[in-house]
Amino acid sequence: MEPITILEIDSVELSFDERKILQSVYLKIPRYQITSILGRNGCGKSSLLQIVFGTMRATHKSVRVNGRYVESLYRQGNVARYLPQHPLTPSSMKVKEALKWYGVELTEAKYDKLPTLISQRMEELSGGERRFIEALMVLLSPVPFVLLDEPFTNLAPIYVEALKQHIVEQKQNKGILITDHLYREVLDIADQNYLIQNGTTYLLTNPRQELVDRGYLPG
Amino acid sequence: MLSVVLHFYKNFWIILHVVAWGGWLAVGAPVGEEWWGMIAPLFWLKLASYGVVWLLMQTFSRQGYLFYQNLGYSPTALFMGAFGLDMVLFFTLLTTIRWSLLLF
Repeated sequence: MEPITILEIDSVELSFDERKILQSVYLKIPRYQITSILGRNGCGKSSLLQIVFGTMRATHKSVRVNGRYVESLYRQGNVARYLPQHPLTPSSMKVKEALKWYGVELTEAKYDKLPTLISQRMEELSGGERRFIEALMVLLSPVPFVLLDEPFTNLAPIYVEALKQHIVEQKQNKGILITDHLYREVLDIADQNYLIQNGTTYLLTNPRQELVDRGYLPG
Repeated sequence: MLSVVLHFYKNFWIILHVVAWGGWLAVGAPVGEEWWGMIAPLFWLKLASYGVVWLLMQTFSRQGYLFYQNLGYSPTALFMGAFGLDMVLFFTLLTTIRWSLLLF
């Protein structure tokens, strides 16, 4: 079986009532690279990730894995996993149980707080701890692609740095699609960057300058 | 698949069983010949309570599906699997109770 190396999305069109949210979207997410999507609040970043993953219906869309059209990415089985903005895991589930379901092993050496967290239930963790654990659950999953929707939200700076390191490490095995408003952190690690503006994606060749020129960052 | 369905089913199994056993007790917990006449109404009661659970989850807890979707399972597959499991568990238990009461 040929290895999965590329995820492509195009012809995405999404409307809410009469308002067009996404149109003429094209994304190419190569494996072994980090691809970012930046954009203002409400521009359709999260919707686009859900459309890619197959959990949101769009008026039109084409999602392809290695050039092969797939109706629903998540139903392909172990091709991609998705970290939503909201809590992912059932609150009553223990951390170690959640990690086991996702096939993820965390080593104690790397996480000094792990022995205390591992036996707790998700609802017993702080918002930041839960976000960090769930981000790792998805990121370290044994799949070729991961989609991360605002993974740095609620994280203390030390966790942000740790998560950045993990993301960079994981690109040795995976294609990673990330969106977050902490644009400095994202630009630090991303290999290619897209901006969503007026419902359309733009591949940025000089991200920092273009983000200013296109009004995403103040001049 | 079964372990995922079982885990999903654990979210709402209590309410389904309370309704179904409540229905059986409400008509006098029949175990004799009249027991056969109860099968169809109990099936429809289960289906109706299952529909309510589905509606509530669709309305208030759609985000809860994502944990399972990440494992490759659609909400439709989860609900169908859980419904089948619930039917098997309930009617097996009901039949066992009936036989026990008839024998002893």
